[in-house]
Amino acid sequence: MTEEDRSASRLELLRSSFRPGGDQYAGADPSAARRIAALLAGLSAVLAVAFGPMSPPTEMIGRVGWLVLAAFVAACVAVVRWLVDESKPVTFNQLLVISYCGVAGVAVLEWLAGGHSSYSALYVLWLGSGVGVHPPRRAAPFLLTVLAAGTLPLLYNGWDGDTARAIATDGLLWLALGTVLLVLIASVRGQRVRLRSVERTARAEAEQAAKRVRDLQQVTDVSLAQLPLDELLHELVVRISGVLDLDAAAIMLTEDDGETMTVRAAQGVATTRDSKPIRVAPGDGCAGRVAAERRTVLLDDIRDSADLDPVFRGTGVRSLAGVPLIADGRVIGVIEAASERRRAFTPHDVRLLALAADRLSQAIERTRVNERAHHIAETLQRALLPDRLPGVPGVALAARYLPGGPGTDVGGDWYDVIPAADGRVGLVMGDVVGRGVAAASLMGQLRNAFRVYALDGNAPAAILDKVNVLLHQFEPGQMATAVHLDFDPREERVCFAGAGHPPPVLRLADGTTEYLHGAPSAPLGVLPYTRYHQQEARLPAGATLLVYTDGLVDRPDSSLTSGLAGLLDAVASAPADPDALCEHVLRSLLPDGPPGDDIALLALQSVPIHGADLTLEVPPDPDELALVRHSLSRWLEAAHVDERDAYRVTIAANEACMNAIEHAFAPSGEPLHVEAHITDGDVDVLVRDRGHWRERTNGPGGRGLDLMRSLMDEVDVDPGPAGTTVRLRRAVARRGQQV
Amino acid sequence: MTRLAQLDFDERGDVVIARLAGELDLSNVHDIGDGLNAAVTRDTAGLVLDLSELTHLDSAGVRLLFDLRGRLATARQRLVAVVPEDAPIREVLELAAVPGAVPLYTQLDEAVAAAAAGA
Repeated sequence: MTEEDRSASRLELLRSSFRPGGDQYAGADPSAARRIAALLAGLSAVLAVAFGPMSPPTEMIGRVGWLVLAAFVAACVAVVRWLVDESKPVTFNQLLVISYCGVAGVAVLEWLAGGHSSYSALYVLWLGSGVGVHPPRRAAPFLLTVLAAGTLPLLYNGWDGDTARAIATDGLLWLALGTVLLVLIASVRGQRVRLRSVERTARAEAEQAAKRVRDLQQVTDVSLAQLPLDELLHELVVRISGVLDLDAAAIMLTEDDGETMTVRAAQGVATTRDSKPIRVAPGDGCAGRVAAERRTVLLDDIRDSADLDPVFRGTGVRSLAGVPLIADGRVIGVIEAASERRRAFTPHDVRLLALAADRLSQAIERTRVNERAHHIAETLQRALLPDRLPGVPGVALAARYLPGGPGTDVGGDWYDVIPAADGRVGLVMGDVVGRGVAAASLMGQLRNAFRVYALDGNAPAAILDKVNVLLHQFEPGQMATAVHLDFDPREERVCFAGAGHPPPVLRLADGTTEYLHGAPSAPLGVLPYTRYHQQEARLPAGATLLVYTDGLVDRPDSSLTSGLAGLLDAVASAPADPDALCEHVLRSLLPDGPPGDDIALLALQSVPIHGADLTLEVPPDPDELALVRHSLSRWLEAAHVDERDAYRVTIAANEACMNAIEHAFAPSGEPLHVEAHITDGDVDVLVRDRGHWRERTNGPGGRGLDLMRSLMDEVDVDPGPAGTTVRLRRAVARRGQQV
Repeated sequence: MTRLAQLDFDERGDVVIARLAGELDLSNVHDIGDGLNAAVTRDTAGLVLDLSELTHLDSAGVRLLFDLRGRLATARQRLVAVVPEDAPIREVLELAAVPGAVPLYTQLDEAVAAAAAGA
């Protein structure tokens, strides 16, 4: 800025300070103003006292004039006391009124003294107080008032040449003084106003720069990268809307076909229509164009809603900005920003959208890779867990597997049920240390090792010993905890051994609950030459055994001790039925849903199979026939039925079930119902299915019926419309007695 | 899942001995049948089914025996079975008239001799 420009701008400032409108007191300093006013009022009081003897105020109303002078002085002192007390508020208007009052007081004093007198010097002080503080538009009338007040003696004393000259001299002096003050003050104020506006502009620019940085941080926030994809999309769409002050925003991602896009997250507009996700065909609307042309598209003023994307149709959207998401050179989606008023998106807006798009593309790629790995691990693990627990007579089983919460990788938890030919059942619960695909595949190896050793007839401790050696030899450095149980329903005894695994929980029929603590043991794979020890416990009918992985009790928010105590309480208060027990335990210990870690639990209940009645419900599947036979023969054995008769009843019941499974017309998948009663010397068996009986006189089915008739005393087939019921009856011998 | 039945083979000259142990029912009858069929070649004179260790056999098993016997008969091969006198499955076999089609022996050696003699 040149010198000339600067003076020109000063002149302009001065001029502007006379113009009406705006803030009259812009740039004024209220505390400086009240200090000046106080000083001048104080000086007025002092000078009034000093002038009193020189120009006695007794000319007009006699001695009463002294009282007026005293009152003026007192008023000035009061004003000073008021103004110096900073706690009392003062407005510019009040200061102006004080100045006018001061001028009036001086005029009265002059009159009392009989005309133009020493008091006229006081006008100068009040001139300062009036013109030196207020803006030109108020100061100028005040200056005129002072000049007018100075001429008053000419009115009431009449024209007098000397007095007129003196008054004119004073007036000119005041005018000069007042004008200088006025210009000076106006220019000082103007400068201050300009400085402030420069400062304000600078501050506004700094704030804007800071906001841009904040905006960028909003979309590049590293913590966003930790979110699962859907949450990340939602969070970004919300942040973009907030940062750019949008009416709506949406993110759509390309489908697997590489062309159609689906709206995955939106703010200010629905992501679904008729409860179906909104799809965008290639080239359709702004987003379609962005994807097809692989570049940013800005539409400032949309008049035809055909230009809008399906997602914004039916809304008042007027302006759109769409930015492509590009990964590996492919368009994988579009971010769109929408405004309902006409809006030209600035380069800053577009930069921000592009940055968000870049971050999102990276996150999507990362998430897709992670999800793929997670999916592989999860599939592997799911495939390795039994999809159905085997039916074993005298045993009720239930299991749960809960994968870790979102963002966690699959762990290596597994469980297995291995029924032995002699009616015993082996249970395994294990946890491979580590996560992901590696843990899941090791888990598969361990599961098979346990199966092989269990089927070879090894006892639990021997199985752990062998698996430990195996792990050391073939997977050195890998580690797993496990517990193996061997339950014999006939003896109602369980034999178990653990390897660094949380202890099983035993719950008796009366609700008494305890941990089956074994000897302390190392996890598998830690000590190459360790020996595992096994223990036995009674598992009487009605008792339930629960094995689980540490995710159930070792939570980050509480200690292991309190976790174990909580589990014991949960099992004690749970129903005895294994399925309900698992449900109850999970609800009690994980009220907030999915855990952070994987959790597996397996409950086994010892079911009584003696008594006057036996009831079985089995799926209509040939694989279930053995369970029916075994359950029935164990029940008959417990009822002391003669071995031969028991065999005959079992074979006949087996034939009835087989007929129901094999020949039931249009199998419905409804379970097969088997009931048996023993009364005195008779055994009744009832087999009910939901299909239609098809009797084949010359086919294989006929042979089954013949067999039943030969083996039993009575065979009654009732082919009802809702299903067929077969009733079998036979008189049986009890061991030690004849029929 | 634990296997219900166990099937092992042995050969004595041109006689194949199939030892079937455990339980034979609808769930495994097809697989066992496939196993038995595969074990019999053109050179086989006869098949001895050793059912000494078989604890369960029902009409599905009976059907298998009849089918197997029919198939072997067309190739002039003999089918005999070893079933101990006190075996529980004997009653089912007799009720289903199996002995008329598949001769039952109580001793393996007798059964092998019978299977070989037929050739």
